Parts: sequence; structure tokens; C-alpha cells
Amino acid sequence: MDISQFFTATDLFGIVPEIILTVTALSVLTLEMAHIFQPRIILIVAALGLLLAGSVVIQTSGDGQILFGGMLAINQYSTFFDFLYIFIGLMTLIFSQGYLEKRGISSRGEYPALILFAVIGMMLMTRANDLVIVFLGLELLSLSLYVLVGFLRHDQFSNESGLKYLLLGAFSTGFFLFGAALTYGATGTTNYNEIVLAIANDTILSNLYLSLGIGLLLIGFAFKVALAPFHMWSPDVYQGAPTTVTGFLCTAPKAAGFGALLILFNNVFLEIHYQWQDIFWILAVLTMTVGNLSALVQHNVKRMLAFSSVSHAGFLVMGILVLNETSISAVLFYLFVYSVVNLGTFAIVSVAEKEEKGLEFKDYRGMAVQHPWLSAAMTIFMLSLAGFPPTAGFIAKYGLLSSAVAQGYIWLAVIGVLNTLISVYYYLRLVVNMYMQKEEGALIPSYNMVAIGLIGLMALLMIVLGIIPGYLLEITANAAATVS
Amino acid sequence: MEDIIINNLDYPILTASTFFPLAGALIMLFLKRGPFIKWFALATTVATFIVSLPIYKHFDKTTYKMQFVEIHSWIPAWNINYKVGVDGISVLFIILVALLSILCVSVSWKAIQTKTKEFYISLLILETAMIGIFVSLNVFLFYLFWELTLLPMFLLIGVWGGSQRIYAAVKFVLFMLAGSVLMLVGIIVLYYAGGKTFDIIELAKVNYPIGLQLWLFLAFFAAFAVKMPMFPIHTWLPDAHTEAPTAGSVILAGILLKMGAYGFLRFSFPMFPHAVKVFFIPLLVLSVTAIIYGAYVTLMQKDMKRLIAYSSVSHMGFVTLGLFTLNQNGIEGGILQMINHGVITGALFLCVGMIYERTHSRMIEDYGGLSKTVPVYIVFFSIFTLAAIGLPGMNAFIGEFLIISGAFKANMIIAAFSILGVVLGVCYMVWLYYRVALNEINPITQSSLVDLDSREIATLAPLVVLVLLIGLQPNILLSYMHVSVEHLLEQLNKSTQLESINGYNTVNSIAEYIKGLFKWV
Amino acid sequence: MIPLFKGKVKQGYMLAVALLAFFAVVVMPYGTYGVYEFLNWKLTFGEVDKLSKVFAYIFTIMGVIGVIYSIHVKNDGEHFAAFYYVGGSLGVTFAGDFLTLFLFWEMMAFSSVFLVWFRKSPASINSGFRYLLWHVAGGLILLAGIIIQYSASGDLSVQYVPFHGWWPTDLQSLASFLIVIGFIVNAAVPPFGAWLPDAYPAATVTGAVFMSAFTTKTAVYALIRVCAGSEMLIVLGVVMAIYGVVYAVLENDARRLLAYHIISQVGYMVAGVGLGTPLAINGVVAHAFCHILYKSLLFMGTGSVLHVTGISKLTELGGLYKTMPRTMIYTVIGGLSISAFPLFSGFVSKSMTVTAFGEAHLTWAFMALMLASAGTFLHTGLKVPYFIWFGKDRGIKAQEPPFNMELAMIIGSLFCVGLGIFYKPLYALLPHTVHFEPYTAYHIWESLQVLLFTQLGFFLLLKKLWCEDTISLDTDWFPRKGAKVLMWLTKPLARIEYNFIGEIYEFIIQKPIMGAAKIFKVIDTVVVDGSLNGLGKLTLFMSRKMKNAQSGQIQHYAMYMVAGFISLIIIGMVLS
Repeated sequence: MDISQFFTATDLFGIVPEIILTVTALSVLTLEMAHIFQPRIILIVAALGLLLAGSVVIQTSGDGQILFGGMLAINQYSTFFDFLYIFIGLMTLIFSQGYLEKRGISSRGEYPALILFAVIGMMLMTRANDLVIVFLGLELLSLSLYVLVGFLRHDQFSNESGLKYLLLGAFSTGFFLFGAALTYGATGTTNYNEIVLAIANDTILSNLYLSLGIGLLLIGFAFKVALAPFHMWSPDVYQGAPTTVTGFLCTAPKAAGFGALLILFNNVFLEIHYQWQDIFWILAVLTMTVGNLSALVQHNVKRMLAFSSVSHAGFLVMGILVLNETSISAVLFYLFVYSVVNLGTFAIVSVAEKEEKGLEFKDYRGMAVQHPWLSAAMTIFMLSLAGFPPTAGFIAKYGLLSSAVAQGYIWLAVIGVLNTLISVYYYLRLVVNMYMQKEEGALIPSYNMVAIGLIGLMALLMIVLGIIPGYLLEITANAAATVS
Repeated sequence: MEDIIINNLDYPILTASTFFPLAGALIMLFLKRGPFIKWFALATTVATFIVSLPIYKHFDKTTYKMQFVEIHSWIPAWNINYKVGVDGISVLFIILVALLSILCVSVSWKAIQTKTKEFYISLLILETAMIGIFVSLNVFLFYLFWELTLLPMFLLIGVWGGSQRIYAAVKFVLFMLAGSVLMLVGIIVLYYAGGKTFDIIELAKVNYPIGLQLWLFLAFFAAFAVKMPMFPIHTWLPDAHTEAPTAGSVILAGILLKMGAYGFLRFSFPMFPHAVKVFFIPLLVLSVTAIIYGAYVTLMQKDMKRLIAYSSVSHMGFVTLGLFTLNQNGIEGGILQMINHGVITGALFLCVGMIYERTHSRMIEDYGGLSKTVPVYIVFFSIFTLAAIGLPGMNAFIGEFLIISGAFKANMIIAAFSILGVVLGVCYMVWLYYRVALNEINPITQSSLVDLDSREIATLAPLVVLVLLIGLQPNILLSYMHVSVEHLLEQLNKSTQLESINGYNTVNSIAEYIKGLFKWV
Repeated sequence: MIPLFKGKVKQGYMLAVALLAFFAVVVMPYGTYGVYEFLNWKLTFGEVDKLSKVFAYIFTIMGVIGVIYSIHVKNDGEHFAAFYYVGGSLGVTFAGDFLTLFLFWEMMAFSSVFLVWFRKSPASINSGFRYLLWHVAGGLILLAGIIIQYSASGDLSVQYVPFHGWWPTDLQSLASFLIVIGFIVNAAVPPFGAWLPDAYPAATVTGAVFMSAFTTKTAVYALIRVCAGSEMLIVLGVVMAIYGVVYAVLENDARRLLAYHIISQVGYMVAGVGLGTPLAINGVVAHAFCHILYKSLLFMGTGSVLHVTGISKLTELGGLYKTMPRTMIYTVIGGLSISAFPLFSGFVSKSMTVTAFGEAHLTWAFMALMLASAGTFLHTGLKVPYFIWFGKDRGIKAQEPPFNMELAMIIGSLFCVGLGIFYKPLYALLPHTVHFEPYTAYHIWESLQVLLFTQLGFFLLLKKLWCEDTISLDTDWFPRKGAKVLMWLTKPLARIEYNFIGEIYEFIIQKPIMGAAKIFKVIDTVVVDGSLNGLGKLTLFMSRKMKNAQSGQIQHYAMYMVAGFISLIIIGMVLS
């Protein structure tokens, strides 16, 4: 039989990156099976695979095209995200190398492989033009994450958090699937474009089903991106997971979640979006505030960062609330900056971390003395998270606030900035500990030149983007233009 | 372009003088630690000072227009330009910043022993930020520099400060941010209300609806009032001043406090004239409260730095009083008084810092009879004390005279109260002087006291010169600001047809209510 | 510049400067000089007319005498201060506008306080501090007046703005009221006069001589300039004259006594200013002129006693006529002059002032002033010389003061006697033309009668005045009654003086301010700062509460999610 009726060359060409990554992942596994290769080599292979995929992604970027009969939609928007995922994956791999050895787990083949699979899953999520594909990607992502989180099998915290994540994740997946099912029931299709048509032509079986469906889908995403009150898993999981994985966990899935969510509401449910505005701002305010307030009194850096990421998610919801071209572009910018900063931060934490030490605030005391550059980088990241100019964090925050104010959500902006004020307190706590406290028990980071260099580059990038954000702003604007 | 004068020198002088220190800091980043660092810092600050001098040579005093303007596209996506320029109001502060920075480096010569490199780097970054604030003609740029001052100051206080330094530093940052984030929202709103531009001059031309004006005024007021600091949000100041190293206190008192007042002149007055008129009396009352309240609290302080810090509250009260009289005398006096306060209080902090270096005590009761033990030091100290009191022939007298005469034009009762403030000012300064300089020699600190060395004398001397120069020839400075202030008043009194857009009527009534509250004055 | 010179050179230099100043004044023609543009005001440093010139004369003469008297002093700072002080008073005299006037006014205050401080005793430092506060307060009131004057009339030149009535009615009167207050603080008008007897005795020997001459007289000059004829001043002046005398009665410290007499003498002048008729003004000016001379003479005399013996308490002195006769003579001359004894300078001037009141038919004032002058004679003319030089000899080792002091005193005495006899040149200097002949039978008789009567009284009351009333009843009733009356009159006053007015700054200035300051400080730390920090604490508290929600139990988390879902649905229902 002729398979070309199912898909064409262009379809295949469109998913070349996924293919490359899959192949790489499998080859990494096989390499690992044959015990002949050093972990380093495995890493390099995986990295090469990612780079290759990345280059392909950049090649194929351009005019929007619908593939596999409306299953995938590839455009600059998705390309932006693909690029982001690959970048994150690559960084995570590099940082993980030293870390895993330190934690007594020499990098096994499955680790890079899982990361690659996660990346594939995320790419599918933002490329998807069909709820089923979204679900597929989501699951692929989640499953690999469940394993990654529990990867330190000697470490009970790691195992615990892995289990927690699995159970709660399964729970939320249930929500998501049920939501998708209800939507299907209401509109008779899972394809975005057809859903839009159905809503437009008002050939909807039941509005209630649709609303319920959207609500459940929203919850599914809310869990992934950790919006209050669906964020409870995040601190525990972030704390227990291997630090590099945490870095991956708090950047990539969030990006993917928001990417898919934006598509969903911007392309599919735009008609009924206005009904959901109240829910969105409630979510935004709740998430911001809960995240910040909980972060204030944490002693564990990873927990603090977990809560801070929650509050950032709250900020991002503002973008979805406004949902116009500027806000989407702002969200993209924010996601990029946020991911880079968090990767950097967790990289530093992973570098500084020891078996028992290196996770509490007080462990960082006097760090500025022995490791001025590392602390400087950390400071820049913290400032960027807090949204101080002239770091990229400020530009990102400004973009979101500006888009919110443009829509007349001035009070929301005020709440936002007040939250920023609160957040400054706990971000600066780290700086205070590094620079202003007397030293207790020096922290000896395990230096890995590549990692340190990359951290420095990221910090520099944050400053540069803070001063001349123009180029990235154009990219995000174009990306946003293609979806709306 | 009719209301600006493009920089006609052959090099971008403002950009140069703004970013020179930053460049120095970046180079210093890669220098080896060691004594050379100090010299490099000193060289950088001095060079900055020299670079900024031509501004005064070529400044055209006959126009209110922005001068030496440079415009470059910066973030086209948001229509943000890099635009700098100076007018009669801002030009004087540049030299003040440049001068004080030099003195700060020199006073920290021995005082800062640990992490010297980081210290001077933050100091230089701070200098860039401060100059930047006064030259930027773009709100976004302004805000950038405004926030940029926070972190270096935070580090200065927190790393090289006294025993309570962390508390003070965090308090400082949180207070500042609390103000400035509100201003940020205000700026964004302004951006859309003013036709999607950040250009200060363009924004000043727009007539904003009254309700909006009130809100925006309050938003900006939050930031400026915290910075000033106005009563009752001044409490960060004593902590910050007290805990900061000498250089930090000098910068704080000399420049950072002025940023708020400058903000009023640059934003509130030209952009929200109606709001300013609505809050006219309340602001005067607030200022005079700050004056008297600050003076009273000052009287009771036992810690010299704290005392001077509180006296700044009172003095800045005079500045705001002058500004909000909304007449030529008052505003000019206010601006002049900002400079004076920068010079005098800066000098006093230097003095305290110098003996603190020797005795490591800031407590007044540990001193006494210094006039006998360290005569040279006391000569300087006396001069600055007298200047702070407002002795005729010294700079503060001119400022206070202008301000109070402006105040009498504006409101009788307020002005009368402000006189009381002056009396109290004399009380606490003379009392401090009496306890420290006269009295009988105090054995606790006597042994460790040695008189000033040449470096320290060289540090203080320029300020003495300034004190007397401004005191005897204030026109040197005033001549710069006359025209600009006149223009400012024009903008302030420009006829605003007050169309009120719905939803803001409540604000209107609130404003009326506020007016009513203060009818008695 | 003084520190540059040493030893003799320095002394010569200082003398030269002083003399130079004097001749400068002599040759100075009338007119306006040194106009100087400052801000948007004209500052006039040289406004010379008859009035300012006569004061300039006496100030410079006094400067010369003072320099001679103090030329032996080693402390450069003291000379420095003295010169600044004199310069300040001259500056005030010639000031053509209020700003300049205020400038020199402050200069006087700040320089003269050092004359007190340089005595370096804790007491003098304290009283110097009080002195300074008084003057700064006065100066600021003056400044307020000036500013209001400026905003009222837009003119800063020193002009004639008399203050009528007792209470400011409009802006202009408020201005002149404040200005007057500012002046009379320096003129030591009670109750603003407490600083004077407080500070002068505490000053250095030479410093007191300077201070006795300048501060109050400058104030008098300013009063004549700005607000002659303000009725309020008459009353104040008369009260002042009496007040000074009464407290002088109780005084034991010679220099403090003289300080009180300055008050009473200035009282004459203030009253005269208040009267404001040409004759009165002439009288005032002449009186100021002579008063500076004889008062400084007296201060020099007692000063030299203090300098030599280190004692200024009358009751501890006595019988010095053997050891320092010449000083005695000078002092007695001063005493006679101050009590307006014919042929002495006080006579020609005081009688003029008093007569002015007579002519103005202000009988009560006239009588009061007469009484005061009787008291003056009683205490300065007789008591001081008697107790220091005669009285019980307490065998104090003493000798004549250094030559320069003596020279100064000689000059002073010459002036006193000379002006007493050849008074024409003085009258010629006066601002208004004089049709007044002091040596008429009436005047002489009147004053002699007063004086002699007093003298009689003095010797009769001698014991009663200073010993406890232990005399048996068989003596004449009058002295005893008189003594009783006097004691009865003065004891409560004494209490008032020493308990209150002397420490007036303690009670009226310091205590309230400090008290308020304490309260404000508490407010600041507790209420203001507390509330602001409280916000932060509240946030942290909420945050802790919220932390507890993070139990770590999966089922709890699941519950939260379900709860979230349900509430979300509900919100959806409610809203759509």
C-alpha cells in the first residue's frame, strides 16, 4: 500500500529535528549498552545531536506550514520554542556531566537519552495543531521527567520527589485527558482549526461541556507550569530532584506549557477567551502572591527558587490574560530570559552543591571572597530574576507590565510590581549571604571550566540583553506575529 | 527640534562624562588587586571631573533649552531613544557628583581595607548612574539609571558598613524599590497617555486629564518622596547613613537625596502642573513638618552620623519647601540649597568619618574638647558647622534666605514655622559643636586622636572654598538656573483646560477634600 | 593676620590697625559707598551720615582704648575675636541695607562669644553658650522680620519703619515688630536681657571691656535707625532702667553689678529712642557716646582689680586704696560720670535725655529715670569704690595693673572729664542741632540734689545694705525703715532674678525643646519606623503561615488541586 497517502516528503522534512533527536537518543542508549565508550563521549554525541537538530530547526524556520493533515503547525513561533528547548537541553547536558559524577552516578546513557526525549516531547507540544499531539508531547515529556527527577537512586529525597511527581503528574494528566475528551465531545474534533470552525459556526454540542473541557485542559497545563493552587508539587520535587534536572524542570516544561497554552487560547479559544479573563487574573494574582510569600522564608535555595519560579509563572499568566501580539511577544521574551537565568542559577547551585552542604542560604556565606566571579554571576542572575535594570529581567518584566497596562490592567500591574518588591527581599538574601556575611565553612565548588565559562556567558548575556534587547525583541515580535 | 540644542562640540561630552567612570570600573575589573587600584580610581574620578568641565565653559545661560543634546535610537521596538542633555537645573549637579566622587575616593584611602577593588568598582558605577540620572532626557533611560544607583549603594552599605549594616542595606533597597516600582507603573501609564513616547520634553508638552495627573503625580511622588526623604518615610535614611561607610554617607547625602527633588523639577512640575497645584498646601505642610520634626529628632541623637543624618531630613524639608513654594525665589533657593546641602552635609560626614577612622567611635559622649586636641580638624569642623547653621556669608544662608522669602510669598504660617525650624537647626548644630569641640577633653578618645594629615586637608579644602564661594557669590550658580526656572514656572502655570474623564471624578473630589482639609493654612 | 606678628611688632600692628580705623572714620565723608550687587539685591556697605558717623567715632575710639588695654594678652584668638567684633559693630553702623546689617550682626554675635569662651572656665563656656543661643535666636527673629519686610515692601535698604502700638496688626507692622524684637534682644531689654549679666562677668577681663561697649550700643544705633519713636520702647526703656538699678542693688560681684548698670543705662537710651524727639535722639546718641567711655572705664578698673587680685566679689575686697590708688581714681571718675555728676561726661548726656522727657511732659518716665540715676549713683558711684578701695581692709596683696591697662584707663578718664567740661565738640557731632545747655542752674541743682541725697542715704544705710539688720533701735528711724523697705523690696526680686531670669534659657528655651525632642524621637523610632517595619513583619508572618500549607503529603496536594478545580468551575459558573 502506498504510504504517501498518510504523509508526504514535506511532512517528513518538517519533523527532521524530531527524527534526528530520536535517532541520537537511541544511538546514545545503544552506545551505553556496548560498554566501550566513556561517559564524556556519550555526552558529546548527544550534544552533537542537539546541535544538529538545532541547526535544522533554524534552517526550516520561516513560513508557517501545516503538516500531517493538520497535526503539526510549524512557524516561527514554534521554531522559537524549538530553539529554546534545544538550548536548554544542551545546557542541561553540559552542566549535568560534572554534577552526576559528583553525586556518584557516572553519566549513564539513559540520562542524555531521557533529556532528548523530553525535548522531543516539548517540541511536539508547541508544534502541535491537535489536542492529541499536545497530549502525546506532554506525556513524552512527563514520563522522561518522572525518571529524571528520581534519577539519584541512592538518594531518598530524589526517589521521594520522583514518586510525588509521578503520582500528581498522573493526576493532572487525568485532568488534561478528560478535558480533551470533553472538548472533543463538545466540538466533535480535536483539531485546532476545526474546533475554531465549530465555535465560529456555533455547531457546539454543549457549551457546558466545552467550558468544562477548557477548564480541565487549563488545569492540566496549570499543573505543568505550576500555577497556584496546582503548584504544590513543585517545591518538593525541585528540592529532591538532581539540581541540574531541577534546572531543566523549572525552565523547559514551563516554556512548553506556556507555549502550548498560548497557542490553545490564542488560536483556538480566542472567541471565548474574554469569558476566562477573570479566571486568568485571579490565577495570576494568586500565583504571584502565593509564590512570593512562600519563597520569603525558605532556607533552602532550591526551594526558594522553586517558589520564585511559581511567582514568575504568575507573571506570565498576565501575558495570557492580555493575549495580544505585544503580550505574546513579551511572554516569549520573558520565557527566554527566565530560562537562561534559571539554568544559570541552578548551574551555580549544582556546582556549589556538596553531598550535604551547599543547599542552604547560609552555605553561601563569604562565597564572594573565594569565588568573586561565580558570585558576581549569581548576583546578576538574582538581579535579573528580581527585575533590576540593567539586566534582561527588567526588560522582560517591563514588556509584560507594559502590555498589561496598555489593556488597562493598571491595578494588575501595580500588584505585579508590589510582588516584585517582595521578591527582591529573598533574591537579595542570597547576595547578602555571599557578600556581607562572615564566612562559615568555605564552599568549594567543583570547578568544571566549560560549565563556569558557560555560566559567565549567560550572565554576560543577561547584561547585554538588558542594555540592547532590540534584536531579541524583533525575533519574539516576529514569532508572535505568526500566531496572531 | 526647536526646543533643544544639539551638542555642537566635536565630541559627545555628556555621554563621555557619564560613562567615563563606568569604563574605568570595567577596566578595573581586570586589574590586579593592590595599592594601584586606589590610584586608578582616583585618576578615573579626576578625569571624569575634568571631562565634565567644558560643559560649564560652553553652557549657554541665556536659554532654557536642553543643551549638548545627543539622540540615538536605542530600542526601536518600544520607541525608546538614547537621549541626553542638560539645562540650567540639571547642569550644576553633574559637577557636584564629579567633585564628591573624587572626595569619596580620597576619604576611603585608608578607611577601606577589605575588598578595595569591589569597593571602588561600585563607587565608579554609582558615579555613572548618578550623572546619568541628571543628564537623561528619556524616562526609560532615567529609570534605568535611577535603579542602577540602588545596587552599588546596597553593596557599599552592606559590605563595608557598620555593625547593623545588613539591616540598613536591605531596608534601604526595599524602601527605594517600594517607591520606584510604583513610579515604573506610572512611567508606563505616562507612556501610553503621552502618545507612546518616553521623551521627557515631548511628554511635558501634553496636557493630561486632571484625574490622570493626580494619579501619576502620586505614582511619581512615591518614588521621589522616599528618595528625598520626606516625612514620614524617612526612616531608612538614618539607618543607611549611619551604617554606610563615610564615602557611602557622603554620596547618599550629597547626591542620592537630591535625585528625588530633581525628579520633582523634571517630571512633576512640568507634566502634572494641575496636580501640583492641588497638592500645593499639603506638600508645604509636609515639608515644614519634616523640617521641624527632623530638627527635633536630631536634637536627641547620641550618634554623630545619626545626628547629621536626621539633620538632612530637616534640611531636605527646606529644599522641598523651596520647591513647592512654586515661585522663582523658592525654587531657585531650593535648587541652590540642594547643592549647599550636598556640600555641607557631605563635608560634615567627611569630618565625622575622619575622626571615626581614628577613634572608631561615633558616640558624641566619647568626644569633647577636640578644639584643644585637634585644632586643625576643629577649624574645618567649625566652618562647616557655621555653614550648616546658615551663618551669613556662607552658602546655606543664601539658600535658606531665598527659600524662606519664597515661602513668605507662598504662605505666611508655613514660613513662620520654617523659621522655627531654623532656630532648632542652630540649637542642634551648636549643641553638637559644644559637646564635641568645646567641653572638657574626653580621656576616652583623647589618646587615639591625631590631627588631620595633608590628604584629609586636601579632601576638605575644596568644600570650604565652595562654602564661602557660594556664600559670597551665589550668582555664579544662580545665573545658571534663572532662565530654566522661569521656563519651569511658565510650564507650571500654562493654562490647562481641565477636561475630566469619567472614573477620575472621585479623585477630583478627593483632591478638593484634601484642599479643604488644609484650608486653615 | 594677627598671628603673623609676634611680640612688640604684633602689639604695634594691632594698635596701628585700631588707630587707622579711627582716622579712616575721621576722614570719611558722608555718602554711600561699597554698593555691591548680590543676588537681586543691592548690598550697601558704606552708608555714612551724621548718625552712623558719630557711632563710628566712638566705636573706633573704644577700639583703640580696648586694644591698648588688652595689648598684653598673649592669646591671638582673643585679639582676633575682638577685632572681628569691633569690625562687626562698625559694619552694622555703616550697613545700608538689612542684609548687610544682619550679616555683621551675626558676625558680632559669633565673634563676641569667643571673648567669653576664651576665659576657658566651665562656667564661662556654659554662659557663653547661653549667650550664643540668645543672640542667634534674636538674630533669627530679626531675619524673619527682614524677610517679611522684604516680601512686604520688596525693599531691603535700611529704612525707618517705626512700630506703633503693642501688637502687630498687618504685614508691615509684623515686620517692624519682629525687627524691633530682634534689636532689643541685643539691647538687653528685659526679659530678653538675661544674657548680659550672665555673660559679661564670665568674659575675660579684656573681653568684658569690649563687650560692654559694643553689643548694646550697636543695638541702640539700630533702634534709632529703624524704629525711633516706637512708643513701646519708652515703657520698656524705663522699666529697663529701674530693673538694672534694682538688681545692681543686690549685686555683689563688681562686674556683674556693672553689667546690670549697662542694662539700666541702655534703658535710658531705649527710652529716649522710644521718645524719638530730636532732643531725645541727641541725648541718646550723646549718652551712648559717653556711656561707652565711662562704662568701659569702670570695667577696666574692676577688670584690673580682678586681673591683679583675681577677686571680683565686693564683699571679699576692700582697702585697696593703699595698694592701687591710681586705679581707684580712674574708677571713681568713671563712677562719677555714670552717676552724671556735674563736670563729668555722664552729666552732659544724661541730663539731656532726661530733660527730653521733661519737655515731652512724660512726668512718670521723668521721675522714674531720676530715681534710677539716684540708684546708679548709689551703687556705682559709691558702692563700688567704697567696697573695693575703702571699707574693711582685708589685706589683699595687690599692686597697680600693667602699664598698658593703666594707659587705657587714663585715656578713658581724660575723655570722661574732658567731655564733662568741653562738651561742645560732642554736641557738634550729634545728628540733630543742639539747643541744649547742660550747665544751667536748674540742671545742676537738680542732679546735685539727687546725688547728695543719695550720698547721704548711702552712708547712713551702709550697714543695712550689706550686713544683716542687727542695729539696735536707738538710731534714727529713717535709715532702718529705709533698709527694711529696701530689703523687703529687693529680696523677692533677688529670688526672681537668680531662680528664673538668669536661667531663663534653661526654662524657656532648653527644657521645652529637649522635652519635645525626646518625645519626637520616641515617636520616630516607635511609631513611624515601627509601622513601616511592621509592614515587613506582617508579610513575613503571612509567609510563615503560608509555608505551613506546604505539608509534603501528596494527598494534601491532590486535595488542593481538586479544591482549585472546583473553585475554578464555580468561578466559571458565576461569571459566565
